[in-house]
Amino acid sequence: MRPFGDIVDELSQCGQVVAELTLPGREPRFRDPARPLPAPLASYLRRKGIRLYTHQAEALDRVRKGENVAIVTPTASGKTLAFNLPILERLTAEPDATALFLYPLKALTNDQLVKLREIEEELGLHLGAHVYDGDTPTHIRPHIRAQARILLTNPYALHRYLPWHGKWKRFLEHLAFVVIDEAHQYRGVFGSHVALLIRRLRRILRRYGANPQFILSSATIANPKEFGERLVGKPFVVIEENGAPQGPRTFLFWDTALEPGRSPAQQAAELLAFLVRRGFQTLCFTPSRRMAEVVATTAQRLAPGKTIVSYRAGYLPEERREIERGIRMRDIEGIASTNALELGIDIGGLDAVIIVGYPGTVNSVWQQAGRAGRGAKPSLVIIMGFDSPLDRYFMTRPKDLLTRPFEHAIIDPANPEILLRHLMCAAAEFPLTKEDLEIIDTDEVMLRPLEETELVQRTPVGWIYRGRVAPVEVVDLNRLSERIVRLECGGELLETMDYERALREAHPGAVLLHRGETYVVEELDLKNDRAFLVREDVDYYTEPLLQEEVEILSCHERIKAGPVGLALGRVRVSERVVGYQVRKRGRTLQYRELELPQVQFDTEGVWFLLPQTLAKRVEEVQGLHWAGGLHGAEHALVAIAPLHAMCDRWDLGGVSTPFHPDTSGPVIIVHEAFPGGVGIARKLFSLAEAWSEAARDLVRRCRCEKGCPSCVLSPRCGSRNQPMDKAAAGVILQFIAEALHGKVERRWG
Amino acid sequence: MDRRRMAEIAERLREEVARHYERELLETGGLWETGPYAPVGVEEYRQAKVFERVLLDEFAGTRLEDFYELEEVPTEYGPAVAIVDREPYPGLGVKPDRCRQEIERAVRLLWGVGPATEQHLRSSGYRSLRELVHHPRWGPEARRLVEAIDTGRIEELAFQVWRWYTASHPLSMLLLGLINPTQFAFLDIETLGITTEPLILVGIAWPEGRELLVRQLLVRHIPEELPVLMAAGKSIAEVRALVTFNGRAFDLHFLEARRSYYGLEPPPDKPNFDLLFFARRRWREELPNCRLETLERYVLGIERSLDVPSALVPEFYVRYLSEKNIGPLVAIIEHNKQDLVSMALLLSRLWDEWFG
Repeated sequence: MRPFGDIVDELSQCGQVVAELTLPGREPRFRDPARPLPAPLASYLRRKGIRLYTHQAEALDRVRKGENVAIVTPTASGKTLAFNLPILERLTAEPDATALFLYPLKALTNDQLVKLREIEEELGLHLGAHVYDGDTPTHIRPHIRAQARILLTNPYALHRYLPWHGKWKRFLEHLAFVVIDEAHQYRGVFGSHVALLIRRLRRILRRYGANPQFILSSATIANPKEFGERLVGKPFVVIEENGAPQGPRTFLFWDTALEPGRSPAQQAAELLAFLVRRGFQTLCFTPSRRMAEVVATTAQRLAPGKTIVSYRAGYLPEERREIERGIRMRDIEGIASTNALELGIDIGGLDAVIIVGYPGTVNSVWQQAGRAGRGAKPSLVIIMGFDSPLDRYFMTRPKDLLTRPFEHAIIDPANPEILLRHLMCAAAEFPLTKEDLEIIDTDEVMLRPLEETELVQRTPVGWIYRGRVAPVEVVDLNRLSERIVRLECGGELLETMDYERALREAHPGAVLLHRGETYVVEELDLKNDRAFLVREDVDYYTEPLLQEEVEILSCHERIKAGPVGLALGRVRVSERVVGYQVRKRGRTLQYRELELPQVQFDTEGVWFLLPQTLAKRVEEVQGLHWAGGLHGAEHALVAIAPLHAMCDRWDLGGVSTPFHPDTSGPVIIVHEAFPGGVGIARKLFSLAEAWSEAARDLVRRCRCEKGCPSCVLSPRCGSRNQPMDKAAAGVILQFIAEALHGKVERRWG
Repeated sequence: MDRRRMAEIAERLREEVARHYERELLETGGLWETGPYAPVGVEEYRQAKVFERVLLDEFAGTRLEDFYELEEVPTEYGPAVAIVDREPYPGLGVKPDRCRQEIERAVRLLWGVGPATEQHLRSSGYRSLRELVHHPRWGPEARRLVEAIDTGRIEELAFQVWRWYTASHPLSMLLLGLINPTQFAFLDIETLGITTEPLILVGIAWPEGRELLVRQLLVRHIPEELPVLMAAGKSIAEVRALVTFNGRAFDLHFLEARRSYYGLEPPPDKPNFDLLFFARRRWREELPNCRLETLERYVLGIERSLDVPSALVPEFYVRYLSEKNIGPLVAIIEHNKQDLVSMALLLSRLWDEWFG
């Protein structure tokens, strides 16, 4: 059986299809819950023709048992129904019970409200479901506080409202459920903040005598149990087996580099138009809003008579809803979108999905591919590769992309930068006691520095916040560092950025993406911590060139794997942005120099200690360049890291040297780019075996001769990729991979 | 966990809080447009810091009890300390009978009576609530209202007046004439911030004949906030009405928030006559703004010579705590005292203007 056989044959004639793989379909698996649903809910499902899939029935059973449940099945598998059913059941049985739904984005809260209200109406219930966030008009807030039984909100709002818990007594006292939807979005810095926000919430709940169940709904990640526990601080039961049906899916791997005359956007538009003209409703995911617009417009031109639009989160809610409806009704035949449509917005399944460029994680690939397929019908997914290292990696090993395990979602609520901030917030919510510290997973020691800086004071009733400014004003859920730079355009604040990050991403001349629009930085005023941007449609992008020095401060863990040493510990990074590149379509057009101050911060890093004998082997025996090899190996390790740890390019940095004063020998250090670290280094340490193997494969299988941006050349290298020796890098990485083989226990996930 | 590193992080957090405070101070002056305090200009800030320095020199080594008369108020959480003083007070020229008469004429207090109906009733010979007690439609309600007026139940009446006439209407102020002057109190608080920061001072002033008895409950150090909140609650419970300046938007919410922080019930609910509302009604057109300082200067003719600007109270308090020198605290206490006195004078002034 070869679904889309004709289409595939036709496309293959262009010579850019490097692989074709078909995943067989899967029949739905149904199950009845252990106890039947109450009549109104049961008849509602019957009316809608819905039978419960295995995972939905299991979720129902387990939530009824009082467990904390993490539902980790793909998009469009009916997760929302899985948790709505037990919640609705309980809220109708207990007239006082309440529920809190947390979403990472405001857009999602509104969508879910619509869904809930529909069900309410169908069932004739009055549950008082409301969205409560910054957009909620002031005059109805008291009413919501007094009456609502279901609240939908987002972390930013929750953070600001927790100090007002006294006004929410009724709601909190009777809280039976906390639903955290799209939970995989809570990772990295943001996720670590949210983890502490949830602990603050739990502390407040305990004060009101509430002990709700937590329900997590997440896209597939490799470590759901660990992640759930880190995020909430409670043990979870994981439901992963997906009972929803899936039609057979054909994956085509399309190499854009095989046709250098046409840009990837052009190629994507042609594919989109082709499929739409053949009557297949197709969704094309692009890495930027600009590309989405270009692809949509071009494709529309190539397919007159059909309707092809672009979609992004920045549209007004009414506009988005209209497009979503148009997609569901199949009035809209083609869509080019940013990853905004990856999230759980209901648009039904489509016939085909085009993914332009590796979206950064395997997780995202499946989220995006998951949009293809209506019920049991066959569907087509075309993955288009650019020439970045990860894209290259997968173009040469397509089966790997489809079978590789998902990345680990990483957060680190113990990061002191984040923990101290939230301790401050907690102390301002009500006096912090020793018992409270248990919920926050910390102890008194952490409060001492806050006492010494007179931000909190210990009193007979607990630690009290005594600063002059409300902590929630000062603690931003997306930031780590204390010094921030305000990015302004036309006198208005666009966003704020950590100082370190601003030097890298908002230097004069930098091109920035904000909500899908491009801006150019005109001036960076470091005396007043402000950057001045202008809105400009440009077709190039910029990459900073970083020079750095890394000092090893301490070592948490070390493994001796034969001749190679692997260590995890604390490092001090001194970084300077020395210039930047102007790049277009993966090629560097220009180098420009910059004069910016050095930044220094402490963070977590992983390093590989290599023996001097290897230097000899590389130089004398093979006649290769030792320092160049170390350099290339370092770049490859950083480039391939996102395969294993859910992070992106800005999250890591590295150095390599034939002689490091702290190790008295050759070393390659990969470190996190955020002060304090968010757990990425630790994760890489635990996966070092797979990580080094992947880096080795990246270099060895690259068909270039002396190194290219797809393997050892880093676009951010402050020393402009000098010295560089690809072959030597291959030898070194092989050496490391061999040495680590079987020696590194996987401790997490 | 590395102690030095944690100390560094906490130090940076402290700086961040300070920087945020400064930005609010110089640019925005707090969350609400009408206060609680006006933004401070650079020159004003400089002068205030000079003043702070002078105070620190003056009061080095002085103890609070040497400078002020202190009183202890026992509470379940330990004693709260109050600074007591007396200030001259012109009083309100209240003629209770006249007040009652005026209030009785407010027929719009009846549900369903708007300006048009009021006209209609007047032409039918009904000019007061008392005259309506036998009216077929409004009789029962009119009777209830008249009874409330006769017995001075301003708690009920205030709600009705604010609903049908607004809180800034002179009729609202007139209600104060229905009760004994010793039964209401002026209230003004000083705080470390505007939302979730601790209290510094609760200033309450009771009219006693030609004097104002001023009692300022002071948080000498942070652990005393809880006893002060308890004591303030007790004082509020003892009066029948409060007179504040912007208290409806700020002071009372703040006290409630701090009490909630410690798990206490909100302060007893008493009618709050907010002078800001009255002042706006009377002087909004004539003055650049209706801040207390502005009203003091232009209406009462009071010019404060050495005073800490409201926006800098938190800073002065922090300085007092860290230097263990009461100088800056004295400025806060005097500032608050003058606020209370000015509020009392303002009330008298408005009263004379509207009902003299």
